[in-house]
Amino acid sequence: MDVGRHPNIEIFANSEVVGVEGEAPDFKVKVRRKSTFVDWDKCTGCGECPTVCPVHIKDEFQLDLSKREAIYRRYPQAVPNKFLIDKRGSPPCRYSCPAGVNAQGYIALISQGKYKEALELERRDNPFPAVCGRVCTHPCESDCKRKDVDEPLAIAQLKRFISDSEQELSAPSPELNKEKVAVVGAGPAGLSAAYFLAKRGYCPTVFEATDHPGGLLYWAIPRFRLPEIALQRDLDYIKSWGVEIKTGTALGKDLSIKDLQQDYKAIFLGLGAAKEKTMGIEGEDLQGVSLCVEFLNKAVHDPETPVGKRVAVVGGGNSAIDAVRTVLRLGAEEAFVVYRRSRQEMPANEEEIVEAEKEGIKIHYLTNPTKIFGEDGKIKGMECIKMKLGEPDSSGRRKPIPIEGSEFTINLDMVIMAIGQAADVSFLTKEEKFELTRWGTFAVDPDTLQTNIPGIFAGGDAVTGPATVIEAIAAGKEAAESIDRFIRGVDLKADRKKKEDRVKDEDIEIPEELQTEKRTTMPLLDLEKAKKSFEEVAQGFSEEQAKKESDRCLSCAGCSECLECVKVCEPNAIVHDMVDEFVDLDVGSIIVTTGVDYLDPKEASEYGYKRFKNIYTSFEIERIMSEDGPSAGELPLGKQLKEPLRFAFIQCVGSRNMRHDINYCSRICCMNTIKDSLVLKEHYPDANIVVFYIDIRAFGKGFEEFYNRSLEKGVKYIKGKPSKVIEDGSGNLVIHYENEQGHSGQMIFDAVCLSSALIPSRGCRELAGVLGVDIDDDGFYKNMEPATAPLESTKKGVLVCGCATGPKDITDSIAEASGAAVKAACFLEGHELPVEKKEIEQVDVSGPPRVGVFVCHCGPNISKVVDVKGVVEYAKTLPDVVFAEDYTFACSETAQHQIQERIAEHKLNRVVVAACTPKTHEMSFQDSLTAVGLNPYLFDIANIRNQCSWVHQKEPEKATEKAKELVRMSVARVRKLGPLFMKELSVNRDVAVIGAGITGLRCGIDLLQRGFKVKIIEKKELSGGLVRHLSSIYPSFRKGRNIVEKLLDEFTSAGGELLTSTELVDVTGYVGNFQVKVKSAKGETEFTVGAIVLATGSELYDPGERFGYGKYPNVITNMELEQKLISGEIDDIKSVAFFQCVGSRGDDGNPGCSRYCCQAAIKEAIHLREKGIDVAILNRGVRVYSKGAERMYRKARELGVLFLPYDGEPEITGADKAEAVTIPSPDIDADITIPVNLVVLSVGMVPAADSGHLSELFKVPRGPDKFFLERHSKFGPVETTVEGVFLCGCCQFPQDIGDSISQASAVASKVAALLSRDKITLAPITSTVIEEYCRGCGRCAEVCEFRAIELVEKENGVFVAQVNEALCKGCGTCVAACPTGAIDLKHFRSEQIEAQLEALFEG
Amino acid sequence: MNSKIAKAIKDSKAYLCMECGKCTGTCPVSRYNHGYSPRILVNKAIRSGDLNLLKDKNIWACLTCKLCDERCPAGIEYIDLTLTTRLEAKKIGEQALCSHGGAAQSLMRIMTTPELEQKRLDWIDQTLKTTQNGEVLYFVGCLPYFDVLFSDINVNTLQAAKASIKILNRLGVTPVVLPQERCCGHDLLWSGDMENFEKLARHNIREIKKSGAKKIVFSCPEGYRTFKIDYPKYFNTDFEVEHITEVISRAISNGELKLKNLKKVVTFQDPCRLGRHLGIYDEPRKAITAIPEIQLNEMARSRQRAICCGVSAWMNCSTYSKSIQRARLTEAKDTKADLLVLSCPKCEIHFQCAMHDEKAGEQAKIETVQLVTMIADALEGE
Amino acid sequence: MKQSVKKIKERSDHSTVQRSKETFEPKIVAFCCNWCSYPAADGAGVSRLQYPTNIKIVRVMCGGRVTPSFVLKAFELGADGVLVATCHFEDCHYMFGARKAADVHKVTEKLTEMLGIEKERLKLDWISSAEASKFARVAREFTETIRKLGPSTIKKKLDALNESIEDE
Repeated sequence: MDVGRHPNIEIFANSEVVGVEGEAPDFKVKVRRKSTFVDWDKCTGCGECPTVCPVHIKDEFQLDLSKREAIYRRYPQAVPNKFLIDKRGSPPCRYSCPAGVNAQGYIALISQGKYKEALELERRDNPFPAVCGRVCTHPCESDCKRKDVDEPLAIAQLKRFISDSEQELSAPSPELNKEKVAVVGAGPAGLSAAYFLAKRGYCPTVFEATDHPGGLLYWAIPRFRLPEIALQRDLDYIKSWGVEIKTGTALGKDLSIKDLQQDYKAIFLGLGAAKEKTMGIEGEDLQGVSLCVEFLNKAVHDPETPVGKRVAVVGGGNSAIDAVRTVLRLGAEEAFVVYRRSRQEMPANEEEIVEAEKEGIKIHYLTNPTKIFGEDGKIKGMECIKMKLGEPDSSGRRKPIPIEGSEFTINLDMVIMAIGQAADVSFLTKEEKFELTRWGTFAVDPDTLQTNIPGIFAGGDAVTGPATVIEAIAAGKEAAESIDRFIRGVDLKADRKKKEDRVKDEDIEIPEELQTEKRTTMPLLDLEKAKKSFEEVAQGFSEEQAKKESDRCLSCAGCSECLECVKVCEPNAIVHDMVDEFVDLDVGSIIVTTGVDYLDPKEASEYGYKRFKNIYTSFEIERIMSEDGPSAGELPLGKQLKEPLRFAFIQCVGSRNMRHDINYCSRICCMNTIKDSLVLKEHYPDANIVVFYIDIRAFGKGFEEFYNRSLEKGVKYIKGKPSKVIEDGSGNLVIHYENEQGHSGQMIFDAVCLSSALIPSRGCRELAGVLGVDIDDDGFYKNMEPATAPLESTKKGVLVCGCATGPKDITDSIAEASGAAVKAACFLEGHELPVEKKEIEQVDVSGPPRVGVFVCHCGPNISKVVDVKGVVEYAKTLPDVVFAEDYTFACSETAQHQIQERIAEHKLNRVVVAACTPKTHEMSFQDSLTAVGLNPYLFDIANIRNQCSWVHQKEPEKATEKAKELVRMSVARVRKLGPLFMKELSVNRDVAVIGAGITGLRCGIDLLQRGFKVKIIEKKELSGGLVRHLSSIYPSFRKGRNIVEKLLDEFTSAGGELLTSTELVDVTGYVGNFQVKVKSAKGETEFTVGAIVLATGSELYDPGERFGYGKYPNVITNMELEQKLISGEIDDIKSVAFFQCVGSRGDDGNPGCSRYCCQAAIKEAIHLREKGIDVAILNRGVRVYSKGAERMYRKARELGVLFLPYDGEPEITGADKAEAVTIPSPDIDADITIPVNLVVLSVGMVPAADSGHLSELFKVPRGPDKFFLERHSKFGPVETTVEGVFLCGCCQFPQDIGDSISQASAVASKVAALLSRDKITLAPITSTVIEEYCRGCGRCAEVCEFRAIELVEKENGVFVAQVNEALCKGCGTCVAACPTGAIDLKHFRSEQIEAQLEALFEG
Repeated sequence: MNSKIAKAIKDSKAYLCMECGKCTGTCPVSRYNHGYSPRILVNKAIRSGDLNLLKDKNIWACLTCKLCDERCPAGIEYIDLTLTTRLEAKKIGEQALCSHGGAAQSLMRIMTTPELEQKRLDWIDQTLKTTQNGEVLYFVGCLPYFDVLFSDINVNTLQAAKASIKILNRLGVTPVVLPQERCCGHDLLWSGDMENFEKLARHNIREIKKSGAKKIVFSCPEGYRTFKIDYPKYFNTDFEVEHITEVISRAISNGELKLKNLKKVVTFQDPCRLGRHLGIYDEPRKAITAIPEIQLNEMARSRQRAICCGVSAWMNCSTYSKSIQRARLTEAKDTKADLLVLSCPKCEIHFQCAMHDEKAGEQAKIETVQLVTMIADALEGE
Repeated sequence: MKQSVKKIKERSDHSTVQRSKETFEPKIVAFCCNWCSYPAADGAGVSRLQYPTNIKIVRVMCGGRVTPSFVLKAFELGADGVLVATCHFEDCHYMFGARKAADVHKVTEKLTEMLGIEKERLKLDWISSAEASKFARVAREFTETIRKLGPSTIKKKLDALNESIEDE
C-alpha cells in the first residue's frame, strides 16, 4: 500500500519488458503495457463490475481453487486497487462466425438469465437471431471447444431461445439524420446492410423486386423449418430501425443504377443468386422434373402444390433436404435424396439430415444421376451411377468419381434438382460497366466489397455465389462499414478492424473436475404429426434447458465481451477495445525481482497430485487455511471425519532431486511446513500430523525454536521420502515409505500436502535474454558471486534480488531488496526529483467549529444502498454543521474543486467526507484542504462505503441509519480536532558503523558510494572479523583474507575512516543527531552522526573441555582447521571426523542453528578429501541451503565424504591423542567406530560477549537468544526498534557470508533513505504531554517500545515525561498507560474518541 | 447571579473573606501549583460573574481536604463553596480531567443502573461470617473494583474489608454485606455529578433499608463521610454510622479485643475525611497504641494539620499531586517509622502509586499498612 | 416533579417495548486498530461480505490504545457489546501493541465481569488486514451472540423511574 502511494513510484502492472538497450546508467527500456481494458485513471476500484460479469473462471490468486469473474482485481488488497479484464482472444465460436457474432457473450448472459441483454448483444452483430437460430449452418458449433470434452454447445438453438423469449419487440428510436443509401435486394445481405447503416444514422431504402422482403428466407425455406412469424420478427426488428423497404421494385425494370446514383449517396447491391443450376443431363426437360427453389417458391406458400408419388431430390444441401421433406408433407408416398458424395461431405445441417431420416426419407449417397428418362414427355425414371471418393478438390472435399459399370435405374414420377444456384447479374452490365467474375458475379474488393464503380458496393450471393445466411449477413455488415467510410470520405481500407486472433487452444481452460454432459437436445414435434404438417418441427428450448445448455460453455476467451460491465461502470472506465501500449523508459539501473514459481507436483506423479482428492501443494494449503481463502480456513475434505484428522506433509517434492533436474534446496519448505503444521494444529487440535523429510532445515533466526514448538505440539517427523501415495478406494490416502526399522511401511491419511520445489519463474530465461544477463545452472539469475556480490547480476547496472537468484524466505528477500535499492541508487546520481512548494494563506481555525459534510454516492456503490440525500439532510441537523452536500464521486477532480470552493464560500473550518475508507482517499481530500489553506488534520472520513453500503447491501434502510450514525460520529470527532503541523529535524549526514568485519565494510562502502561520510569503529586492531581467518569461502573457494583486503581497500580508497583499536564509550541523542564518544590509545573523541549501524558480528562457541578439546591436541575447532588449511599443516593426516552442531541447536544452551557450519564443514571436507584424506561428518541433519551449496554437498558425497547421523555425544577414545570416534548407529544396529587423527568441532555462533553492553548503550533490545532484536522478523530485518540505529550480519543472528553482505547493503539502503533528506519530516500524529498533569511516574516510557519517551527532571525530584517526536510512532499505548491523562495522542485524543462514542450512542 | 452560588456564598460565609491569603499559604496544592489560590477563587465567586468562576479550571484542583477551612481566620467553609461551584459548573458541561481515562467515573455511573447484578463478593471466604439481613451492615465500598483497576501497582484494599469483617466477627457481630451495594457516590458528588450521586444514594438507602440494618460500619472514610453528612443532607435517612476505628477503639476500651505484640515503629496518616471532615483523630491512635510494644511516632504535621494524600475524586491528578505525596511520604519516613499506617483506601492507592515509580527516591519509600488490617493481624488467636 | 417522572416512565415503557427481544437491535461498538482490523473491515466491504449493521467501528491507531475507560464508557453509554480488534501478535504494526491490548483487556474483563456485565458482551479478537472474511464472521457471530443475550441492563437515563422518591 505504501508503495502504491509513494509519489516517486509508478507501478506498471500487467506489463512486460520487451527490450533493453544501452548500458548503466543509461538504459533504454521498452515496456509493453498490456491492455487492461479498464482505464485506471478512471477506475475507482469500486467493484461494481464483477457483480454483473457472467463469466466465472479459475482464480489464480486462490490457486485455481475457486472462481473469479473475467473482470477482476488480482486480490482484494491488490495495489493498485484497480480492475482489469481477462481477455484471451476471440473465442472459437465467435472467431468462426463469418459475422463475428459474440456467441460466448450471449451464452454467458443466458446462464445469468439475462435473455434481453443476450438478445441485445446478439443484435449488435446480427439482426436475424430468429432466422439464424433456426437455419444457420452454425460454423460456431463446429469449432466449439466443448466438443473436445463431449459435444459442442447447441449455440444456434440458444440463439433461437433468446429470440423466442423476447416478449415485446424492443423498438429502438433511431435518429436517422445522415445521408440516404440505396440497398437493392431485401435478402439477408441487403437487409443487414440496411440495418447496420440505419444503426449508424443513415437513411437506407431497400428495393425488392418481389412482393415480400426476406429473399430466400421467405421464398425458399419451408415453414416447418422457419415459420413465417419468426422471420417476421426479425424483419420487424430491422424495420423498427427506420429501414424503408420498397417491394415490387425491380432493378433493371422499375429503376436503374443511374436513378439510384442520383438520389442516393451510395448503393449496396444484395441481389442474391436467383438462377438455379441444372445437372445438364438428358431428360431435364421432361414433365415432372423441377428446379428446387422454383418448386419451393410454390410449395412454401401453397400446401396444395401437386407432387409425385415417388420423388427424388438430387443434391445434398439444405435446400435439397427442405425440398424432400416438403415433398413428403405434400403427399408423396416415397421421397428420397440422391447425393453424389458421402454423408460426411453433405453440406446440409446435421440436424436437418437426422430429422429427414426420422421422417422416413432415404438418402442415396455416392450416387449421381446420369440421365432422366420418360414417356410421352413425362418422367418415368432416372438412371444413376455409383460414385467413389477421390482426391480432395478445390473445395477441400474429396472429389466423387464415377465407378464405371455401376449404373442402375430408379423408377420415379418426380425429380427435383437441388444442385445449387448461381448469381447472374449480367443484366446490369448493359447499363453500367460492372466488372464481373467468370462466374457472373460482381468482382468486388474482398475487404471493402466495393465494385469497380465507386460508391457501389455488393455482397451476399451475388458476389460469392450461393452461400449461407450468416455469410450474407456478414457481407451486409462489412458493406455498411465501407459505405459509412465512403460517405464520410475516409479511406476505405485503412485501420479496418481485423478479426481478432482466435484464443489459443492452450489458453482455454478445461477444468479438471469438469463432468461430461451431453448437449441438450431440443424437443421435436411428434413425428407422425410432423410428417403431415408444416408446423415447425424443432420446438425450442425451455428456459431450464437453455440455462443448462449455456452452463456447459467453457468461456474460452475469458471475457465474453457481453458489455454488461460497461453498463454498470459509472465512471465510464471500461474500454473494451483498448490496445497494448509500448512505453520507452530511460532508467539508470534495473532491479530484477521476478520471484519463483512452484513445480507442478504432477511431475512427481508418484504422489498422486490431481489424480486423487485431498492432495495439495503447500501453496494451496496456505490459501486453504487462510480465513479469506476459498474454503474460509477449513480443509475441504469432502467427507466427515470419524476420527482425528490424519495429515501428512511430504518434503522435497522435486527439490534436491536430480530426476527433476533441481539440484538445490528450496530453502523455505521446511519452515513453511512447520508453520502449516502448527496452523493445522490450531484448527484441528487432535490431528495426527506426520512430516516426511530428508533433512529439517530450520536454519533461520528463531527457526529451530519454532521447529521444537511443533515437536512439543505433537507433530511427528519421519525421516525419509515416501515412495508413493495412492488412494485406497474409500477416500483414504495411503503413503508408502520406509519406516524407522528400515522396512517398507504404510500409513493412512485424510489429506497430504506436497512441499513442491520452487523453480525459476516462468519466462525468466526470456527476460534474462532481453536484459542481457546470465542464468545459472539452476535456471535462476546468476549473480556475480553468491557470497561477496549476491545482488549484482552479470551485467553492470542490472541488479537481482529475492527469489530471482534462488529460493529465499521473506526475511532474506526483504533484506536483499533493500540492498539492491542502494546498489541501484549508485547509478542515479543527479536524478533526484524536484519537489515544488508554494505558500498558501492559512485559514484561521480558532473560532467555533463550522463543519461541512460532503457525502459521496460513489456512483451506485453507496447510493444504491444508502439514501445519500437523506444522509445529507440528516447531516444538516447535526451540531456545528453549516453545510452539507452530495457528490456522485467526491474523489473526482471536479468534486474536489467544488469542496474547495465550499470551504471558502461557507468559511468551513472542519470537513467531514462520508465516502469510502480513509485508506484510499484520505490523503487526496487532505490535499484539497491544504490547497485552500485549511489544516489537513481538521478532517475526518465517515466510512459509509467499505464499512456500510458494501457490507449491508440487503438492508438499505438499516444501512442508511448506520450511515447517519457514522456521519454523526465523524462530525462529533471533527468538532474536537485541532490543526497539526509537520515538524522537521535537521540531520547530520555522517554514519557510524560499529564493527569492521566484512559486513561493516560492505555497508560502509555502499554508503560511501552514496556520498555519505562513514566512520567504522572497530575494537580490535585488525579489520575483517572472522572471514579474515578463512582459508576459503564456498562456493567460489576464494581466500577469506583476499576478500577482506579487497573490501578494505575499496573502503579506504573511497574515503572511509576506519578507527581500529577503538572502543565505544557513550552514545546519546536520537535519529539524525547521535553523539558518539569513542576511546582509543589517542584518547577520547566525540563526534555526531545521523545514523548508527551495528555490525558487531558474533563470536564462536568455546567448547571448553568438551569432546576432549584442550585435552587432545588433535581435537580442534573448525576455525583452527581453517588456519591449518592456510598454513598447510595437514599433510600427516589420514582421517578426519567433523562434529557438527557443537554449541548450536540446543547444545550447551545456544538454542538456534548456527546456519554456517554445515556448509563450512562440507567445504572443508572437500578440501581435505581432495588431498586423499578420509572424512566423516557427524551431523544432526545436513543443512545446506545457500546458492550452490546443495551441489557442493553432492560433490562431497561423490568424493566419498561420509555423512553419519548422530544423536547425543560421540565417544572419543585415545591416550594422548584422539584415535577413534564411536557413535551409535541404531538403523544398522551397530556402533560405528572410525579411526581418526583429527577431530574438528564445528562450533556454533554465539552472541558477542559485549552485546549486552552494546544493547544498553544503544537501547537496542536483545531477543531470548541474546542476539540483537530486529524491528520485525520479516519486514524489518535490518532495523531496530530505535529509530536511526540499524543492524546487519551476525550480530542479529548467524548468517553466511552472502546473507551478511546482502544485509549490509540493505542497511546502507535504509541509512541512505533516512539521511538523504536534508531534514527529517516527522509525522504529526505523536503523543504529547501536558506537563502540569504529568506525575513523572514513567509508565508511558515503560510501555513505549520505540523509546520515544523520556523522564526529564524539571526541578529537584520532579520528573515529567517528554516525547521525542522523532521517535514516536503514534500508537498511543502510552496514553493507555498514563494514570492521570497527562499524555495524549494527537489526532486520536481521548476526548475525540469519546466524542465519537457519545455521538454513536446518542441516537 | 446563579441562586445556588449565591446561596453557597452565603452559607459558606464567603463574604467574610478578608483576603488575608492564609488559605493559599496553607493549601497543599498551592504550595506546588502556583497558579492556584483558594482566596482568588473565593473572590471570583463574590465579585465576578458565574461563568468566570465556573469555567475556571482551578475549581477542580482543590483536594477538598479542608485544611484551609481549618485555618481560615474568618471561618469560611471553602470546600462547601467548592462543592456547589462544581455542581453548577457540571451543569454547564465543565469537568475536571479524569484520571485513568475516566474509568472510575464510568464504573460509578454504570453502578447507577438498578438492574445491575454485580459479582463483587468473591473475596468473602469461609473464614468471614456475613449475612443478608441483620442489624449491622458493613459497607464495602468500591474496594473490589479498586483492586482490579490498580492491579498494576499491587494495591490490596480488600484486605481492609476482610479485616473489618474479621474484627466484627470477633466482636460477635455477623455483619450484613450487600451483594448489590453501590458506590456511595462520594466521588461523583465531589466532581459535581449530582444526578448520578442521587441515583447511587437512593439505591443504597433502599437496599440497606431492605436488609433491615440500622447501623452501618465503614472502613472507608469517604463512604463514612458521605453517609454521615451528605445522605442526610439530601435524603431522609436515619442510619447510625460508625467508622471501624471507632468500633475498634470502643472494643479496646471495653476489653473486647486482645492484641498481640508488634515491635514496630509506626506513623499514622490522618485521612482528610476522617480527620478534618469528621473530627476523628483519637480513635485510630487509640487503636494503634493498643498494640503492645508498638511505637507511634507522629509526623511533623498530624491530626488537624495533616497533609492529604494528594488526589481526590479521581480527578486532576498531576505533578502537584505527586509532589504532595512525595512530601508527605518523606515526612512519614522522617519519623523513622517502619510502617505508615493508613485508614483510607484512597491514601493507600495514592501513596502506592507515588512509590511505585523508581524515580520517587528512597527518602519517599515506606511500607504501608491499613490500620484495620494491622489490628486484625494483631488479634490474639490469629 | 411527579409529572415529569411519569413522562419519563412513559417514554421508557415505549422504549422497553421497542427493545423487547424480538425486535432488539443491538448497539455494538468495535474498536479497530488502524493497521489490521480496520483494513480487514474495509476488505470485507471490498469482497462484499455481508454482516449486520449493528457494529459501528471506531478507529484507533493501535489496540494497545484501548483502555478500560473506553470500554466502560461504551457500556455506560448504552453499548450492548464491545469488540476490540487488533493485529495478531506477530504482525502488530507496533510490535507489542496487540500484546498490550491483550494485557489491558484482562483488566477490563475483570471489571466488567464484576459489574455483572455478561462476559460475552466484551470480546477481544485478532484480525489481520488480510482476514476480511474473519472480520465479517466475527461481526456476524458477535452480533448474534449479543442478540441472543438481549439488551444490556445498563441503560442510563431510564433508571430514575424505578425509584420511587416517596419511598424514602
